[in-house]
Amino acid sequence: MTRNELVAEGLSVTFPGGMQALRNVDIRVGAGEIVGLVGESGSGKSTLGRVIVGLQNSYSGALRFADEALTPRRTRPQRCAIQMVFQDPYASLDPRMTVWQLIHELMVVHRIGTGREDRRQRCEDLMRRVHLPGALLDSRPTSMSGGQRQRVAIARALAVNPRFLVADEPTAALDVSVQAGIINLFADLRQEMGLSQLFISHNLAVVRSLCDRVAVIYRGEIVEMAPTGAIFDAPQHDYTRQLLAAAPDLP
Amino acid sequence: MQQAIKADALQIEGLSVAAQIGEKSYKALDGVTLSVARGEARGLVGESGSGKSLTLRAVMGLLPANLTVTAGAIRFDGRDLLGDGGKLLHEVRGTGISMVFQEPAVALNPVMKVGRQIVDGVAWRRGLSGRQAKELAVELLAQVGIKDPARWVDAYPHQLSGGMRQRVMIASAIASKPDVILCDEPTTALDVTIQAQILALFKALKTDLGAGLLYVTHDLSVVAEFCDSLTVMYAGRTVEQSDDLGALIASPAHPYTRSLLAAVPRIRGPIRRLRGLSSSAPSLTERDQKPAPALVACGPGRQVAPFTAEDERFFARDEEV
Amino acid sequence: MSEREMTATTASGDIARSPGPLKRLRRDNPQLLYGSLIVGVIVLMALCAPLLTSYDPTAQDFMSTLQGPSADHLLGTDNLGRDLWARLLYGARVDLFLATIAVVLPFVIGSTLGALCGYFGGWFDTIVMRIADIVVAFPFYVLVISLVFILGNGVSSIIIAISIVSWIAYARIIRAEAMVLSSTNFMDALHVGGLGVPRIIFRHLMPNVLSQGIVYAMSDIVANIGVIVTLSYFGLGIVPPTPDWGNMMSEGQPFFAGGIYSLMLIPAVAVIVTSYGLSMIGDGLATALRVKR
Repeated sequence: MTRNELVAEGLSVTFPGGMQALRNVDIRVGAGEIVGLVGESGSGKSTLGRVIVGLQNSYSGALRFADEALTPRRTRPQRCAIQMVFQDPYASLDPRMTVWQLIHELMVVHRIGTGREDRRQRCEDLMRRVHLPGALLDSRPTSMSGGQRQRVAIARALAVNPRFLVADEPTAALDVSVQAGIINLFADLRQEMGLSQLFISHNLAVVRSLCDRVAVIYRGEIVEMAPTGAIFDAPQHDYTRQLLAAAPDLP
Repeated sequence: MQQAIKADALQIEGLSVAAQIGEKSYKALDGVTLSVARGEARGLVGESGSGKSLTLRAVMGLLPANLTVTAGAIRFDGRDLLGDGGKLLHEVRGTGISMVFQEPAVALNPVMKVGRQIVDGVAWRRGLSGRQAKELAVELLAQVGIKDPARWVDAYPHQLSGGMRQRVMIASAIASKPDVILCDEPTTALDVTIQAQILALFKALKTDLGAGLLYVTHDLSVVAEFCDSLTVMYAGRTVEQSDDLGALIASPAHPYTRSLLAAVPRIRGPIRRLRGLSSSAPSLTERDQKPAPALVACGPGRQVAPFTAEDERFFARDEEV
Repeated sequence: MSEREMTATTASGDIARSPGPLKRLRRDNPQLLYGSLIVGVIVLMALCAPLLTSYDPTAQDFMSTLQGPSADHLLGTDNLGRDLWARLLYGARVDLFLATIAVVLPFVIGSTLGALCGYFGGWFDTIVMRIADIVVAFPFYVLVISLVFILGNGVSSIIIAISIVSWIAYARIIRAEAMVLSSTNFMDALHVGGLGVPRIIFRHLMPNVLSQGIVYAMSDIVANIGVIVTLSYFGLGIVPPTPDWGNMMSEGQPFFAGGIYSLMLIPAVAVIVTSYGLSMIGDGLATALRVKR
């Protein structure tokens, strides 16, 4: 068993109005591990991602990252260590800025790199890492395809040297053909940098092709958690079986 | 209607559509050819920008203002829909051919009761009384699998879940007993379990109504669930098609189809690295402006677009950069 | 199929680049072009007033009152023998300057408050919006006129009076836009990036929502010209003899019934043409500033 990178214990979130988004959720992601979080809309899967990354700060339960407790008031290194990629790269990138401006700003704020030359170099490295041509650094995401934008969003997340990535349905808005490239990129990031990931998706086939372990979430509760092979070959919970039966597949 | 003869209800032949951008004209569709018979479900698959939705819009006569049909024919029951200044199209639209959209939340009128929306057109055409219309609406809601239809017939769209709204859309599409139903990614916005139910409904409707379905999606695994035949489009052209979906998926002939299939993540079978497709389809202005070469037969009921060794290399190239 | 790879690497905008920028503007956004031309000419004439006329707009000449257009007096003279062309030009200076200043202040205040409301929500939003509701509850002209009464006639009173009322429109527009943006992943992505709140609001949120405010500002200048001219017409704004289109109209009014229409019509046409030009700029900007996503 690998060292624990992220551990959540007894996480519960109740929204104003009484809706319980998460009920007593336990989840563990090891160093260099990719854990899939599968559920349908309203299951609480995005809320769990937001708690982990620090966007949802009213919750009960305990969060630990790299053997340190995470509180709603996070230190700057803790913020940088856990980054997020969103479903909609159209909404999550400032349309007025070039890729260089988007990434450069983060580097300046977090004092990464020494001077412009060094930062430019780092940006070019990031572009290579996400398989984008360096020439795109000076163009705006608005002129790019959906897949390219998502790669820009990933490059931006990587700019602050995170150890953990929460990916919230990062391929749901993309064509199947483009999705494949993004999935491969997440796999490569783990391979090359040892980046641990929580991969949130409603798509079982996608999760199967990427993740080491899978957690199935239903109405705010994790109903089953197991290694990917076990989930798909021998699902234990009724809901997991239901999801598997519903998922379309090629003959 | 005689469904015994397996005549094509909808035939699209060499359909070309030009887009006017500034002073120049570009090929949005180039020689698209496909057909749908009664009782047949044909999947129309391609990436965004491949022209698959545009093909549906052309059939419905719903092209945006800067797009015009420049060549080809769209035939319904052998009669050309483009020929007589749109009169026949007007007559057929909503009765012979109907359409189900991706976003029922947008396509439904939020201030009209769903029952009324479903039968609005039909009731007017057949001169049904209010009571008759409502009875028909209840019947249709039951047919699309809504439990307790008498209760839901007076509901407004916002009171329904996403899956139910899509069922309502389908109910209104089948109200006039059409021969062809065009479906534009109708399950993309839905959860997996709901999607499975809707696909099962389509499967049942296909046999019950004997209508032909033309089902547009970017997801091959969805059409593989319930379609009989398959057409693959790329950059405004038909790349490959087969009357037997299984045969096409088992042995794709065109390099693009092969790449597309290798990009689909699987639920069963060995887990392997997916194939990220080389840079997505060229945009409208970057496309090959030469006329599309005619499809060639490559087996019973199968056609493929001619391709060169260079195409083969191009589509086999893994990922971007 | 090598051209496919070739074209894929070249920039995609080369079709749009071929015609010159002016030609392109005329094709894509004629309103912006013609609106700017109209307003540009008027502003230029106002700025160059001393070069375009040798008359003092306040100088009276009782030897030549109520004259028609002539080589000496391009548009004729008024009842005090003042040159109408000169008064029109110098009046433009006063009115345009005032109207613009009276937009800048509410624009800055309103946009900032609106963005803060949209970002923070909660009690801050509630308080600001309640104040706005209270101010709006007063009829606009009654409020402005009473403020001018309290503060006294003159330039600064007009600016303050207009500002107190018209920041609200900007605050509401920007607040609505900011709330829409806040509900997307846009804000989330910035927060996760660890950016500070002031940076998020002023560097990311505001620039993305200001365009609607800028478009509105154009129509607001039009409205302000209307307000200033109206106040002057009622003797509440610019103090005579300072030339201003409102004064000119109100002073010309008595002669309208007597068959001398030009005293009133000339400034009125100036107001209409200027307003039309500004409105066209506003519509043009709405097209040009639409954020491409």
